[in-house]
Amino acid sequence: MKELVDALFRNVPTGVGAHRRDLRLSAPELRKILMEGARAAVSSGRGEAADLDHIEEGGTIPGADPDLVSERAVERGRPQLGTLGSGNHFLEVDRVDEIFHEEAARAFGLAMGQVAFVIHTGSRGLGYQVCDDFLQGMLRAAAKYGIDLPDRQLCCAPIRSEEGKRYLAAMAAAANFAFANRQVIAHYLRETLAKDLGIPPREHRVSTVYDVCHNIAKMESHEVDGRQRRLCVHRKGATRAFPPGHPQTPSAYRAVGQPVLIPGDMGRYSYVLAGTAKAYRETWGSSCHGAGRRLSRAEAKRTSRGRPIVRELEDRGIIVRSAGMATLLEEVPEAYKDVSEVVEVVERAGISRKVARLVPMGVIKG
Amino acid sequence: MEKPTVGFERIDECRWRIPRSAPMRVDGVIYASDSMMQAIRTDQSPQQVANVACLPGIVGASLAMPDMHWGYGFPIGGVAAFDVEEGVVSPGGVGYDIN
Repeated sequence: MKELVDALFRNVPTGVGAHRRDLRLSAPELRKILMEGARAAVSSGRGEAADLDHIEEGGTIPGADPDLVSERAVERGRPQLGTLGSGNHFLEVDRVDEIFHEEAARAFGLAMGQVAFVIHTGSRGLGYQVCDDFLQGMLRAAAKYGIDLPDRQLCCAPIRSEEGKRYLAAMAAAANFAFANRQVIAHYLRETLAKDLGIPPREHRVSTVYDVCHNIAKMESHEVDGRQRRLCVHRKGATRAFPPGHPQTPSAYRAVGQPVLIPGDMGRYSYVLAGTAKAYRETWGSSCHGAGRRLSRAEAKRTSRGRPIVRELEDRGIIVRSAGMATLLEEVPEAYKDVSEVVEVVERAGISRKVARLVPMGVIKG
Repeated sequence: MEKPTVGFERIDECRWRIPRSAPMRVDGVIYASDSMMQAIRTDQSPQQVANVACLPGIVGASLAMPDMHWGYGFPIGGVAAFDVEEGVVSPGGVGYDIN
């Protein structure tokens, strides 16, 4: 395990002072990624075409316009493709330690004792910059269209307005960058298994269970009071959880529902759930995303200062590699709610079904 | 606009309602257990759920998942749907880590 985690830490850059020299994106290459997302990563030889069926929207949010992504956002994003980033982002090596729903687990390709990898990262500095770039304009738009706001941070524009359309097109480009980013990291992971550990693809057989957005606004059709309406569903730190039988639930999972991935903190568990018909009716097909913070980053840092986090986790059988100590202090398990309790609530409420529980064996943090 | 007042009503074992009061257009609904709710009540995130309920074109309810906590404008763990013709899109409803 140590060998695997060290090799992954070498090969999957955190992006916090570590980059790979063999991936330098030209301007046209980045443009293609902003337009096509994971598909562009696959066509550049970094990723597997078979994975695309198991990514939300096939790994490409339509309607992206790279021209609306600022120069500054592009500059930030260009060296960051295939990097994890800091904060709550990570790459984990897990073991499946409990199966709750046999049929769904089989459909997802999950079995007891199996090794699973969890990639949790997004659009990095590029997406951050896109959000930042649009906030001022959205405040002006809210005033222009006479939208009264209880909080300036809710600044917004009508979906059909020029300002609204521009934000959605830039957001789609950033989401596509995020899909590509995770696809490239999955590629580095397979490469590590093959080259560093000498396990060829026919033996490691790593395939994507699912890749799902969790900070996005999506155009979707839902039934409201007995009729279909087009809605713009905002999910912020929330995951799509489409039911069995939905056309956007991948065909391999059509009978059991879309996989919902719930990463926990680095010391406890992560979960794989499945979307339900009740979620589709009650929450626009949405579920939770993770454990949720209990302590702010500053509080976590203050209360855990001086603690030997790496050794503490190693004593529990979890190998941790991190670019910096600060991130680990912010990310101590106690900074989060217990993910099991969060998952219990969505299951009892019927908006997701538990499929499998994963325990961490190795964690790479930015 | 004044911020709406936040009150809580139990819907069932796992759901709590923030009843609509002016200027909210719809209810807020939080998914949480009793013990989570104790912590959530002391947090600013239910106020954010109520604030989101004030936005034009919101449909159904302003929702929050059990992992909810404070975020920029919208709570993290927040879900809100807006009618395409009458509703709005907000960068705060997506957040900084677009993905």
